[in-house]
Amino acid sequence: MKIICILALLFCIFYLPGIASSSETASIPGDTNGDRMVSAEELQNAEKEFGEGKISSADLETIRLIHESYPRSVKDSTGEEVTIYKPVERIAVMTTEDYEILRTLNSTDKIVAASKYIVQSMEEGSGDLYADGAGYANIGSPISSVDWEALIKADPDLVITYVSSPKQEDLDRNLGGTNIPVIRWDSGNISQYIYIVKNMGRLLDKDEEAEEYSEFFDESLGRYLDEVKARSQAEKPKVYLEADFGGGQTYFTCGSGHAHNALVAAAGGDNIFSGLQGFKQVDPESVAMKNPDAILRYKYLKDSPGIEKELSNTTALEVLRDELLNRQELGRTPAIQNRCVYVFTWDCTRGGARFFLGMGYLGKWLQPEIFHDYHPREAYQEYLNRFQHVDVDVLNSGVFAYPEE
Amino acid sequence: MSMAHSQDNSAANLKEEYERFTGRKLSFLFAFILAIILLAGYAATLGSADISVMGVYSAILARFFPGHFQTDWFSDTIVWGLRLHRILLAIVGGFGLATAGAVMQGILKNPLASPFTLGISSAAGFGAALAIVMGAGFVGGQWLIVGNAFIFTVLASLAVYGLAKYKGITPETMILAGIAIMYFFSAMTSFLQYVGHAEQVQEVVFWMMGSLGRSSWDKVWIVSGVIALCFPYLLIKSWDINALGAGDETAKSLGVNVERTRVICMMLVSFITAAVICFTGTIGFIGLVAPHITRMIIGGDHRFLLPISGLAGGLLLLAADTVARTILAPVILPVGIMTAFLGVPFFVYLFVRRKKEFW
Repeated sequence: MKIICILALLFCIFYLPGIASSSETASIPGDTNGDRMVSAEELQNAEKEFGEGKISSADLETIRLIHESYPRSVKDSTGEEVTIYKPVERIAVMTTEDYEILRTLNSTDKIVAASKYIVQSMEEGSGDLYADGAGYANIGSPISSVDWEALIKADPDLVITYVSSPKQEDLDRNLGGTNIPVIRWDSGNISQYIYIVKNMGRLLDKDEEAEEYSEFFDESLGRYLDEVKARSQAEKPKVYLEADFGGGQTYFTCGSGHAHNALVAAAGGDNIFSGLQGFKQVDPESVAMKNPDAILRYKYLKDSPGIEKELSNTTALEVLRDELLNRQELGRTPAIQNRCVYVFTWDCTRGGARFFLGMGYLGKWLQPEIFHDYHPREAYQEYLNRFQHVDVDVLNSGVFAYPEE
Repeated sequence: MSMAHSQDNSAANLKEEYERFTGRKLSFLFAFILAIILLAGYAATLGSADISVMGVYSAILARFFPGHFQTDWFSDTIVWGLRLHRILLAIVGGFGLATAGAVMQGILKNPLASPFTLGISSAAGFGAALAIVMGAGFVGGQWLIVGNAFIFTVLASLAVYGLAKYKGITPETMILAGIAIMYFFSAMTSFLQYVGHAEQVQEVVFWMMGSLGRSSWDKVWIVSGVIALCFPYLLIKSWDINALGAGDETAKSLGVNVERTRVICMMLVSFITAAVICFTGTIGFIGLVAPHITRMIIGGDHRFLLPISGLAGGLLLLAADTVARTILAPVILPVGIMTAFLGVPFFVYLFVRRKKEFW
């Protein structure tokens, strides 16, 4: 009997609070019937409570806003419809790309938690680019290790993350029952970027900022990309893209489904291995046989030339380019013969740099006629100054690509 | 008179029997050499570049007989610059790994032993992961990953030796020390993968699957040199390894310095393994299974087992790499996957067919 009593007690101590906490939901101000919306009747009740001095005028304004403008829904990059029932005041952002979008929308004051790539910007190799994010609660990495406790403790009313990371089952298991909406954006994808900025602007009541950015993007880069789209396949050079993510191996390339393939396509190149899926090692002979017109080499290393390097410090990239130029098996390809061999680094593919630097350099290399008056550093500098409010000089420092022209 | 005659007859029979015994094994040795030559000759003709069989052989022979054979720049570059060193690295790498496995199984008297049992693959993987994820290592530049893999492999061997020496060099202490080292380095590698970026983790995984895509003539010479340096000693010690199989006491009574033999052999095979896997990544299956396959075919006499295991390993790795680079061309599959795909069915076939115990 004693044992049964002890077990029952333990059940009450450990299990019941668990049930209680798992069923706890983020409350909606003014919602009294639990449908997560504020009806006209509930608004009247709130006005009555305000008259009786039970709630403040600010509370009443919030309830009125929810009644008039919520719920709001957006379709995220997975096609999932995400519904927001109240004004977003606390955001947990897991990606640097979306962090930059929040900066563009002047909404960093709403951020309460961020991934380690933002909070520990310096240690993660981003220099001062995200230095203003150091004070947020660190929720780890969306790819390998989300700190779920820190995330829940931050009590966000919106979580923004990648399309495939963290896995949906992990999100369901760890955030299930909290009713915290999660939006998955593919913010590295050029075809979705403006859609994402505009929808985030709508969710955060920052439509003007979103529109301003959209105009800037069209003026600075979008018009070039539109011209590229008009080019026929025959006018696009054949490109061999070699990616080195740190293993030092050669002949690894990116096929369809990989973000770098999308980058090449948007910049006006015809990836010779676009028929492959993802990241694969290919036969060197097949590269030689496909006769690429241009060879692009992507290098990912923490010590690679980056945003803080001296402008003239291009030695590492020159070595990488020379190694490619000296590959005998590719010696007869137009790319090597015409020395159309280019190297770009991780710094070119992160956040807004993916577009203004990465796509810009690729455009200049692959479609020089279209991009002849495009200046990647100037466009990126303007983006950083106007929309990111970051004090980083990319006109007089930073090594991102070689050769730049 | 008749008794002496009978003794002579018996000795002659014994000699004949022994010659038949060794002859059978030598015939397997030559058969493996022939199979490797034939497969290498065939592998040289395979690839994405559209070069005819005649074109390939002309390119090969033109280097030896410049006046008699003509070739063009493209064929010469593809054959000599891409295919031949890869084929040779498969042969010498497979030879080294299989020999190392045969020696390890012999000195530790354990059918599951291989250089990888002693934590060598884990140490090499950690060295490579350290270079890939943290960019840290003992040497810089293009040798960062290779240098790290090699040095950590040697360090792991020394650590196993140190731990085993502390408790006495026996098969049990060496295996237990090896397993401890293996788990230690595996945990360290997992930690690095945990903190690394997705792309870096992917690189580490690719490295640990093994590939001959990093081959070059320099690497072929280095691996060949290390094997040429170490293998003769192992072959000389093959009698001693045979004696160890009968038990440490018996080996000692036969004049074998058991501890010394075990330590020197372990260090040499670790050195061979380090030299191979620092260039290829971890290809573990060859070292474990090639000696077993050979043992099932020719028995456990290490004088023959060591060279024939080596040849079987070379043949297996060459076959695996040839399939890996052609089956889904232009994509090249990691060779570590293919060695298991090819080797396991053959191993299981021999295992099922074989009636008597081979170990």
